[in-house]
Parts: sequence; structure tokens; C-alpha cells
Amino acid sequence: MANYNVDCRVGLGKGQTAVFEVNGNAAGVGTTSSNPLDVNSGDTITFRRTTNSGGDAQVSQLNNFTNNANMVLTVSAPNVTRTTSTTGLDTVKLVNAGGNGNRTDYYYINVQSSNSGPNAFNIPNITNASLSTQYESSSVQITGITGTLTASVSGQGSPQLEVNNNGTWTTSASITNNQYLKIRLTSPSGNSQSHTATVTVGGQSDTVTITTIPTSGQGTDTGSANAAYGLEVYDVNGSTKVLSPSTRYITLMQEPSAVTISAGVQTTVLQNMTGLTTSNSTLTFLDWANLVVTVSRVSNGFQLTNSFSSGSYTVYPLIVRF
Amino acid sequence: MAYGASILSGSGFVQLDSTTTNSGLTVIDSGTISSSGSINFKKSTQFLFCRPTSTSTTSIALVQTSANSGGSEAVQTYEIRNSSGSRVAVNYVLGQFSSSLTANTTGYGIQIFNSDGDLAFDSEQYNGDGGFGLTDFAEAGTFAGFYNFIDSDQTKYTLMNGTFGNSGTGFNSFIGVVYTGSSASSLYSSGTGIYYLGYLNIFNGASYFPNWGSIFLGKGGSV
Repeated sequence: MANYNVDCRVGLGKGQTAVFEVNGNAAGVGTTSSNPLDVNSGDTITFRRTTNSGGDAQVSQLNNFTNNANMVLTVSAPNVTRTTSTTGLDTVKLVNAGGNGNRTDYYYINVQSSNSGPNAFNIPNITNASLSTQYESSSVQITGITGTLTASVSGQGSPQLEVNNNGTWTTSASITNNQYLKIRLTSPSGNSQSHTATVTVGGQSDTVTITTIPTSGQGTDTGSANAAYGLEVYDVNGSTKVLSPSTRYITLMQEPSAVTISAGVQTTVLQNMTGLTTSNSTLTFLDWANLVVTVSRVSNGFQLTNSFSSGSYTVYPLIVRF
Repeated sequence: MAYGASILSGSGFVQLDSTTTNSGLTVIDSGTISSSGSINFKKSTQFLFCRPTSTSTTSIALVQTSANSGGSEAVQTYEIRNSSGSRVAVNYVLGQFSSSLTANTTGYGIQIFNSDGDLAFDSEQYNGDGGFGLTDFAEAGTFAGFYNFIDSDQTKYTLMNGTFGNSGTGFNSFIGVVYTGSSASSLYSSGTGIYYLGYLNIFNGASYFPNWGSIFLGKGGSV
């Protein structure tokens, strides 16, 4: 069961504005008929007066709601009314009761008493992210939904969600049973920092955290892989897993072969860099070439520079993905 | 993807990939190297991961004791020694990139070949030594050299290929790691765990030196 807060803001004086707000935003969910607040049977909606509100906004006839805390309720002057239309879309009408009563606003609620679910879900966190970069999460199938629910996301890093890979990124969308959900958000601008977004579907929520790579000079925990997909292979005893989706593995992308670099010269070890980042790949050497050779990433591979001022040096680079 | 098999985990990490020249690291051996023992392996196709058997603070690095022709592209004999030049006992996991393995022509399981026609994965190459899962990575040059904390879990193995020790006793150059055991002195600012230690003996003085090879930590057994 979910709890929702809806604020009523009323200006001072006769004829002043009277509006419903969501998180201080008069254009939020529920403030237009095309974007109603989807609630399930048993959900609690609390109508509240916001700080600094003036006037005498009054509400009444909200018997279907279970919590009237903070409401200014004057039964004899039903300045806020709830009506149920034939389409199932309820409206709550707020009238500024400052004497004129001629400034009104509406709040739209879609009661979905037949909807329920979903089962608990978990969108994997994102680790070792580059700075100030937008990342997409894995897709997660949402199960256990009856009817249609609203999926929403809020938090840090301007999070958005996408349902069933439909190409539309938004902060709120309808979702039905067995559809897939993923989010995207932007990583923080500093090292070892996190942004957190909360994804809510019906009565279930999940928190997704994106964490940036550590500052140079620290080790990087490569983290565990997601165990939901992939291949399992067992050792000869039938119980020891030698390959499973929950573990990260080392694969060799280029075997070592001799590269001779003259002093002060750069050469590139060609490599398709698609999908390769500092978090999942590296070029290393058989021996101690890093004493004299520096490595940098370029679009078509790894660039090696002989930092010595004279002579040439032969190195044996190998490229590893993990 | 033009052909073959590409298997990713849910986090997008490669498990198997035959669409490139990838070949997976297959565990071909594991066990213990005693304080009087050594191990033969080829750095160019094999990764050796070790951890001390001792529960006391122990530093470890690789010391080559043979000089076979071919250098690191040939099989050489290595010992594991501490920063004082003494041999130490370690548990080890030896992995070999499958492109250098010979595919079984009979048997069971799954074989995947990469675009070069080399073996990318062969489930039958595993013969009771378990797997190896990567848990930590640090690029070459990440650490300054003076007891830099890597991880707190001392059950993890460290890749030895990029380490360097000395067989002489006394003050030597050392590029390796230290396992603190169950207690840690004030040198270890993050408490017990695994630390990078690197220094070169220059005119009998220690010049601390960054890790010149990538550092990989991981776990063996069932992964």
C-alpha cells in the first residue's frame, strides 16, 4: 500500500490562486486529467496545507480516503469536493474560500481497485562509472502485476525509466505484467561518489545506486556480476562451479607479441575498443615495460609511448578484458 | 554479431565470447607451493595467482630461478619470496588462456572457438582445480608503493605475473603485495588486508615505486 501527499496552496486574499501541488510543483502527477495519480484500493492520500499558504481553503467529502491529517475541513462549506465520473477518473475540486470562491483547481485520481502487485524486483546497481556520464541499467522483468500499474522514478542524476524498450524515456509510465523496466541516470562528477534513484512500481520500490570510479591511487573492487543471466559450468565433481553468471572472468583479447618502440616515439596496439572501458579492460605487459613505456587509450587501440630519451625498447603487451 | 557465441552476465560482463579473439582463462592447476618448492609456468599464456599459507604478516613476490631461452614467452621456474628474500609457502591457482590449450576431440561438455579458430572455452579443461573469479583490479601505476591498501579479504589470491622479488637475503628491491594476517601494525593504515608494496634498492635506500603491472585479485574454488 502506498502513501501519497498532495499539497494545497492558497494565496492570501480574495480571489487568489488555489492549486494542488506535488512536491511544490503545480504541474505534477494528478494536476491534469491526462496524467492522473494512479492509486490502488487501500492507498492513502493525504491532502495537506503547504507552508506559507494563506486564505481559508477547505476540503470535505473525502470519505473514501483513510487519512485526513492536516486537512482543513469545514463540512458546512464544502470548498473541496470529490466526484466520481463514469469513466472511473475521480476529481477533487479545491475552491479558494477566501470569500470569493471563484478560484478553483482540480486534482485527478484514477482509482485502480482491480490492480495489484508487483512482486519485489531488483535493478542492479552500477559501479565503477565514469564521471558525469549517463548510464543505463540492466532490464528487469516486472512480474506479479494484475491490471496496469504506474512505474515511476525519482532521485539524483536526473533519472528516467523506459518500459519494454519502447524508446520513450520518462519519469512515469504505465506498466503491465511481465514487461521489462530499466532506468538511466547520470553519474556524479566526483570520484567515489554515488547517485541514488528510487524506482516505484505499484507498492514496490527499489533503490538503484550508481557509483563512480575511485580516485587514482586506490584499488577498484570490480564487484560481482549479476547472477540472473548467463552460463553455469561445473567442475568434474559436479558441484564446484568454474563458470557462473555471478562471477567476473578474465579473458585474453590479444596475446603478447613483440613491439619495439624507439625513444620518444608512440605506437598503437590496434584493438577494437567497442565496449572496452577502464573498468573492464587493460593493457599490461609480460615484464616491467611500465618502467619506460606509458599507456593511454585511443579510439583504435592502446597507445604506447617510450618515455626514454634515447634508444629503443621491445615490449610484450597483452590486452585483457574482465 | 556475425557468428558464434557471446554470453554476457546481467551486468554486461563477458563470460564467453567467440566473436573476437577472446580466450578465457581456464584454471589448469591449484595447490600449495611449500617454502622449499617452486613452480614452472609461462607468463605469456598463464596467470599465476597466490596467497600466503601463513596467518602472520607475509609479503610475496615472484622470483625467477631459471634462465631458459625465450624469456617470459617460455616456461620458467619461479619461487615465491618475501621482501627479505626468503622463500614462503603459498596457495596458488594457475590459469591458462584457452587459446593456448588443445581442444579435446572426445568427451563431454561445451567447446567454443573464437574468430581465429583458437579455443575460447572448453569445459572439459577443468579437471578438479575449481574456477577463478575476479574481484579487484588496479591499473598499472595506481599505487605509489608504500603499503597501499587493496582489499581487506585475505582469502583472495593476487596475480603474481607483474611482481618482482629477489633471492638475495637482506635489503632488496621488491614489487609485490603484503598479506597482513590477523593483525596489522601501524604501517597498514586501513587495518588487516592486502597491501601493495613496491620499492627499488637504490644506493641502499628505498625508492618507493608504483605497481608496474596491473593488479588482479580474485577467488578460487567454486565461483
